[in-house]
Amino acid sequence: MNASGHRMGGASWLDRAALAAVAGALALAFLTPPEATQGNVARLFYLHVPSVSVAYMAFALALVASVGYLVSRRMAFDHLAVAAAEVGVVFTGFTILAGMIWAKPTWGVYWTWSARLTLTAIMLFVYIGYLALRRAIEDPQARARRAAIYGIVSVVQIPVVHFSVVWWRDIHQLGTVANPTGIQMDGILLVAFFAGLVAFTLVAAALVTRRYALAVLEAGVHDAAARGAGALAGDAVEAPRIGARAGEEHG
Amino acid sequence: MNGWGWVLWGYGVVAAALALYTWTLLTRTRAARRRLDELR
Repeated sequence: MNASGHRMGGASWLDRAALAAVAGALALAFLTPPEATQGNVARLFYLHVPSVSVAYMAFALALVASVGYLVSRRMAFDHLAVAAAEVGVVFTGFTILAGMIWAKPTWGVYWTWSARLTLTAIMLFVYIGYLALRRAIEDPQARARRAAIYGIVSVVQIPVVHFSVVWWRDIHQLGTVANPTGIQMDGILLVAFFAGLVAFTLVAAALVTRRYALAVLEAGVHDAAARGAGALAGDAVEAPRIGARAGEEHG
Repeated sequence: MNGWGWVLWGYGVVAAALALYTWTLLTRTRAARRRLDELR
């Protein structure tokens, strides 16, 4: 068992639940009837929208953990913040990949510099910057403090990304589920969406759990290495016995 | 490419990316555990 409560080599109950949920979500995504206007290609919705929803949740968790660290100074919050932010980056990447592949048959291009797409790309790079910042700071406390501040400030952009399609004219459609006029899906299509959301939430939870365990291990490696370096330095200080040697040589 | 082709392309790319991230996470964890064992 490790710090997160599951064996490192085996699958935890959360891993199994995530796999089962993914299997169910895939079945629903592929077996539901085609969407009325876009046809089969709209099945990418069940991949694209749950991905970005989970990315938002992961970044919100990184925010909560960052605040938790600044309030309590407990490293467990810092480990949780990096785990959530990294998984958020991964799911933002999924969002962009699935979105680009959906864009090509519907818009005719993989990418266009619309507000929603540009802001999502900026969100990805801001959180890659969060991970890069952490790698640039050696001292764990300084790293945790500065990353927590970065993690809190970064979350400001999430509402801007989400509401960009409402605030500015955009090639990207308005929200289908989180739409100002109500949910724009019905029946089994909505069930397939929620199945995808549950599946990706469980996958993200499993990944955050394992990334948290890795952060705990990395902190242990850092502490053990620091203790080893300290012992070597102590040996170097204690080794010379000048008085005794002088006594031997002159006595 | 028809609608199903784009769907399989999209799900395939994301599945591959998820598998790659999971593999790197497990590899990093094994490496960290090995390093910790060496230091102890």
